[in-house]
Amino acid sequence: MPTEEIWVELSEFDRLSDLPDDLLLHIMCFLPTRLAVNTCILSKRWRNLWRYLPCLHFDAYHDDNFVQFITSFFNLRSNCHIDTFQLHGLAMNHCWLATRPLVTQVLESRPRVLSIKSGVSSWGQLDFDSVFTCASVEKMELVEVFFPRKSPITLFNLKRLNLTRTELDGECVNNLISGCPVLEELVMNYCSFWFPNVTIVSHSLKKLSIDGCEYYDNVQIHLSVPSLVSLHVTQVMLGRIWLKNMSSLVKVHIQFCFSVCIHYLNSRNELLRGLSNAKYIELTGPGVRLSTESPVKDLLVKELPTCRVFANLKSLYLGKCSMCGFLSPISHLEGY
Amino acid sequence: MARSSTENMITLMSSDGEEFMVTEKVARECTTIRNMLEDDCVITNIPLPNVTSDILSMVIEYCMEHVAAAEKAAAETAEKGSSSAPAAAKANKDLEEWDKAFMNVDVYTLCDLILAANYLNVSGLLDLTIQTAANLIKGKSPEQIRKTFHIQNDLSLEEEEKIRSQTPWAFEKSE
Repeated sequence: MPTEEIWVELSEFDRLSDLPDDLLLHIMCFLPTRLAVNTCILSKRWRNLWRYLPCLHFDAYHDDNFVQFITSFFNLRSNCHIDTFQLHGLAMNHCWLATRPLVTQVLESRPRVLSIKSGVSSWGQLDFDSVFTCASVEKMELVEVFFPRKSPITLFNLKRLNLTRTELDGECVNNLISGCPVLEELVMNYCSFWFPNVTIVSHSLKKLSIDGCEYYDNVQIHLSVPSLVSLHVTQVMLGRIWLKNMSSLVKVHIQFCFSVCIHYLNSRNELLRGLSNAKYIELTGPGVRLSTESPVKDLLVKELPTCRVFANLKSLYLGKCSMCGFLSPISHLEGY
Repeated sequence: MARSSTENMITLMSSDGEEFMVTEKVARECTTIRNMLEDDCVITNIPLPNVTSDILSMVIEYCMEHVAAAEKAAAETAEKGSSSAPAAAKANKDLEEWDKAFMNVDVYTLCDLILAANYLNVSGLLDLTIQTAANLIKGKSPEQIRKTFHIQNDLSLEEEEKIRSQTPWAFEKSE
């Protein structure tokens, strides 16, 4: 079987090293940078490739020689453009101090994607403001990174921002929104909002998620985001969240932190009006109840069939509540 | 799914002269072909001198599967108004499983698929193949990587020693 023999021979041929540099570098971009550098020992073909890596993924967790590694890496790499920079697990301050000039060097290379995870509770003492003025960044993820209080934010190309375990005050949020004019996706996980009024007014945001965050006791959340398509908020109290100009909203999930009787919506129909264009609404909590004399019911029953408000509603899910079949007149509502 | 009879068919010709008839929709999954079609909309026969028939048939198989999955999801949304979240998640998982099974190829074929996905600009397939190659490198010693990809070590012992002594920091952790 000559053809089979040829196939066997071919399959044992080093096809990988034949790939052009950009494709080999593309493969190496999917590896932690330490592993990518390790390929230099494979053969002559691989010896210097790592110097041209455009995507760098550094992880200081469980790496005793991290500072030496990252310093030597930057000394020996070529001066090529850095597209993606990940720096995770700066668990100790000396790590941060040693890597800080490198971060400055990276920012000068105008990266497109940045991800920095600190793991340092005292991070607040370290100045990290340069990251917030890197106008080339389109996607940024920050975990436990101190948010600048005073210095400006100029992230003019930022489209997606993910903040985790970050302390924010009212000024931070305002600066953030005004400093990111094209921001489309904002995700805040386990952040602290230690101020009474969280106000987000944006014309660019399409997706907003505020998950597991801590709030000031009587926090009021005001959202006015006309382009917002998807909204996800957890652990809020009913009557503390206000929606205005939400005409693009399609998908909503609000999880209330206490037992909620939607009865309370009596004077607070703004919430529902804000949701009135959405297709999929999910309101959950430890025990969402819907009483029969509830204004929500009235609103739903009155408005749904006439297709004025909630004309687009396709799915409604209300925690563990019983709907008592009163939604039956709503012919276009398919799942609740 | 009813296909409209007016749907354009495109003939793709591999480097070894084999012809593959595909719908325009499937062909458009390849950005390179999509650009050709947009430049010249009457084109129906596209020679692909950089792709062999066995690799081209795999690329087409990938594109057809992904077009079918997207059509199915769109049909469900149109039918029910919304594809329910669990159904969408299952469909995604099924497609992932399919991708995974599709990547059960020898490294030579994998590299050819990377080249073809890059040349035809099928971003999903390029990501999938590149990720698969990276996964084959992860967790392996240099010697194991050489064995997996049949890489000949053409570095002399002296050169290897030199690399190790110049960049000792690179090897301290993993070996």
